[in-house]
Amino acid sequence: MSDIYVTSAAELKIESRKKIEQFFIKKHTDAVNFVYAVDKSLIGGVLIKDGERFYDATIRGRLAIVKRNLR
Amino acid sequence: MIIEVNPFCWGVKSNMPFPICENVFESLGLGWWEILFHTVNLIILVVALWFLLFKPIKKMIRKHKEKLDDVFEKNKKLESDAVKMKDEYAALIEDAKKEAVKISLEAAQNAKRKSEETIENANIHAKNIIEEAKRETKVEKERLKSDFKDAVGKLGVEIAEKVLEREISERDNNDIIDKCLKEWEDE
Repeated sequence: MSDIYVTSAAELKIESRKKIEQFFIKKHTDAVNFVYAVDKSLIGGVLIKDGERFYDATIRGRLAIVKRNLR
Repeated sequence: MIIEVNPFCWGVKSNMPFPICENVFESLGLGWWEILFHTVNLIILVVALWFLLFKPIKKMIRKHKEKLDDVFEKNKKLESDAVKMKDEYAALIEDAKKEAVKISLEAAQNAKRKSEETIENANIHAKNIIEEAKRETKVEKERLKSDFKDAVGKLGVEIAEKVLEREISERDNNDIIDKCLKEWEDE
């Protein structure tokens, strides 16, 4: 069974959760367990950890990319 | 006529070839033998004087003359030596003057060359300093530009964070999630 950790800036609605779960269930052949958490410092969007891989859809992450590119 | 016996005449009456002379000599009280005697005396005297006086004196004069000639020759030689030495000395003085002029010219040229080299080196050094200063200024300018860019970027991001924290809505959040899911599907 795989664990997928979903961290969002605000509490996700059911529709959003369903979309995310459908996406990752398609990717996995085995059973998947979703763990949800809230982190306001993300500002917006969602950060998903699937095993060793990270899916960063947060505003904080985008701003960090912008900050890096400005150097 | 009185005939006097004269020891010089040998008491013989002379036979004079010239009657006029005989008269003259008779009036003077001279006979032929006397005249001959005096003549012989004279000759002997002259000869004696020649050998005893004239020759030595002549010899002395000749020696003196030779000495004088010798001294004259020596003086002449000394004079020519002196002239020669004077000429040599004048030539040495001339050479020394030329050498002095040459040395002073060389010294002036060396000094000029050294001063030109010093000026050239100073110019090169100054140029290098200016180039270095320009390079450092450029580097510093770039660094400041970069720091300013960083600071502006950081500030911009911080401002954006603050604004987005306040302004982002639930709908925006859902849109972000949908957009990202679509992107991940296409990967």
